[in-house]
Amino acid sequence: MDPVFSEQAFFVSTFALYILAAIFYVYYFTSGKNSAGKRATYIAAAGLFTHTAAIVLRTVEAQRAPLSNQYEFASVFAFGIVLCYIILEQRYRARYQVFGAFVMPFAIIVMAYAATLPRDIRPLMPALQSWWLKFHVGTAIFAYGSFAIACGLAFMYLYRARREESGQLGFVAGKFPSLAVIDDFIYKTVAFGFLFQTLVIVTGAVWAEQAWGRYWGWDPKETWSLITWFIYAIYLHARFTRGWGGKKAAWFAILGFACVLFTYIGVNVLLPGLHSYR
Amino acid sequence: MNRQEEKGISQQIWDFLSSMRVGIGLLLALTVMSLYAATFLEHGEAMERVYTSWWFMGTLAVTAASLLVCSINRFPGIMKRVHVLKTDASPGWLDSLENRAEIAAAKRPEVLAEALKKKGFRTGISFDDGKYLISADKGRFGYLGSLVTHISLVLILAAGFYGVVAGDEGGAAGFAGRLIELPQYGFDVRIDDFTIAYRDDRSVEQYYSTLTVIENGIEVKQETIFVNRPLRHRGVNFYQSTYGWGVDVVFTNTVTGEGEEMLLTDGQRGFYHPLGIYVNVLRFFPDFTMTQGGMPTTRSVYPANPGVVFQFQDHHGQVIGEQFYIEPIGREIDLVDGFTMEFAGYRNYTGLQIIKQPGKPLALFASILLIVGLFLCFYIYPRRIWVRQGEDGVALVAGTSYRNKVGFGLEFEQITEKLKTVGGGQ
Ligand code: HEM
Repeated sequence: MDPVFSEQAFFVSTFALYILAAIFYVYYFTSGKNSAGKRATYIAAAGLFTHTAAIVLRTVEAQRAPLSNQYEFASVFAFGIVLCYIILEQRYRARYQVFGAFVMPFAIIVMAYAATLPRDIRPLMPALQSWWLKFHVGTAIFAYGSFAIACGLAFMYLYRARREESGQLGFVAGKFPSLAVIDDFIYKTVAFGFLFQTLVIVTGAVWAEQAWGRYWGWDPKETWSLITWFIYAIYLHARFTRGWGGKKAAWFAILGFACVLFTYIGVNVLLPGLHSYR
Repeated sequence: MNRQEEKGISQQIWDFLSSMRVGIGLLLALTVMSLYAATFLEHGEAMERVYTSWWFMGTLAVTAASLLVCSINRFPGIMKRVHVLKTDASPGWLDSLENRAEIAAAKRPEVLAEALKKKGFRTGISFDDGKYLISADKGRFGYLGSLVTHISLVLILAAGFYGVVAGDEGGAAGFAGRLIELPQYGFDVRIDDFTIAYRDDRSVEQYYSTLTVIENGIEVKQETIFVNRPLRHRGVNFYQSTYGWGVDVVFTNTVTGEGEEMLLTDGQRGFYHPLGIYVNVLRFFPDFTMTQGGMPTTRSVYPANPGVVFQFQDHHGQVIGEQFYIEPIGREIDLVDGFTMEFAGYRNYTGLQIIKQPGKPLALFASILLIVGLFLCFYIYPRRIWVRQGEDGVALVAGTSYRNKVGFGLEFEQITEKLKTVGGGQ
């Protein structure tokens, strides 16, 4: 079969599976039935599997790592979100599966965005032919994936905090884990993402040094990834500071993800620079 | 007099710099400044007006100072926590910890301590009123995480400042055969060759320059560089940066058979004495064509249909004849009195960036340290467990962790299960 066609087919199946998984996570969330939770995980894992197939096929077709244009990155970005989430879920033995209902939608939105982008495979310009670039983008998958999860959890945190203040938890927030638990998970996912974001910046700098002779040049994309990093650094410190923790910290986790999206989409669309290869 | 005034000014500055709030404020300030520059200014303008400005540099310097000060302040406490097992756990304090469980007290506390040791804990047993207290901790190197992280950031900033002060940046271009003299670095570099590899679709795959380093007249090494693979010698790096075209112009006096050759690049002109004229190469087009509006242009970067746009000038620089002519490669043009001119061939020259970045090894070392520091921060989490013998044959297990509350909760459950089985009760 034609690999391009198969890649498409796998991409579409993945999209469908993620949507189905999200539906089951929401069903699990509202019904609390363990069987629904199990199914949600299986479906998400199946989606991850077809997604892997799509990515592998594209690698074969393009004869290079599929990490060099907006479409390819959107696809692996969604992959990263689901992968990071499944890892998190497995590590805590599915105790906190309610998070799934708030995380899967991010993967779906990113997949939907990917579906709108041109998919033609074009050869790499010389500056992009580098091993460091593969590490650079490869680490970004994990950074962005876990930042997306942190953002979903931060919304949960803020919602539950508001309900608690009003004195009535209500149906939805009542099913959330306690604020302390959500906070702990935001922290874990931000920490993981922060470690990887640091790797993204460092590998990017090593690559830039090889390609252009400077490891830091303040171009808009570089600077925006630094801004993202600053925001999450503020988040990490805010948790230790009286009057800055809790809700304020959660806002920083959301703001951080907004910066991620701007670095990834906004900079390419709005701000020209060395990095805007498309 | 209040306490503020009692403190000396240097103490106040020190306290200011060591405050976490100030740290957050500095991060916020840096965020706002770089956000403004990266989003609302052109790159060149941003470099000039923000990134190299005294206030931006100053904020970075204050941040470095703050990082250093808070590292120094926290150093003794952190070292103590790493070195010394905490054995002064009062019953009241243990009761206040989040993770607690009761187990049957073991006859011999050594058995419990051994079980904790097997799980990677450092343990100690003390007695108080004839009752034992087992103290245990694990992941103590995690306390070093933020310290290592902050110090590495100071080093990265130092490397950056050092690079700005002691770095050097230049460039050189030339055709194969050119010797680039670099007396400031104590060696020269000769361009041996330059080629462009094209793909089937005529896009550029890669640019290759072969360079030879010459020290005191001796060839030291030869390397072929390309984009992403610079030549590095004595701390000076040579990057494949740009390229351009040159055309070989040949004038011939067909009467005497005498000829003259010159190599001209875009915008360069050459003087031919016998006729007293300049030939001025306006532009070389590798894949020549005309636009709808009648302007010369190139279809691709591949030399499929090379053409030269040029003009003639007299010795004052006045244009002779048409504003410009267009000629392909390899066609003889008759001038006057048996003189001819031909664009005999074309070649590429290479453009190199020559950069010295003395801060680089430090920056690289500090970056690795930064990753190590973050790993310590996030993945080596310090946790402490105590087992205190109580009344009536029970013992209280209590634990606390510095980070990772949920993870520690799970681990604590497992550990108490283990302690229950090994302790064996009475
Ligand atoms: C770009 C700048 C900075 C980065 C990336 C950074 C990074 C970090 C990280 C990763 C942690 C550990 C957090 C955790 O364990 O969750 C930390 C802790 C800390 N940071 Fe920073 N930091 C920065 C700047 C500063 C500054 C300017 C100060 C100034 C006072 C500061 C003060 C502290 C303190 C006091 C802690 C202690 C937290 C603890 O008890 O472990 N940091 N920092």
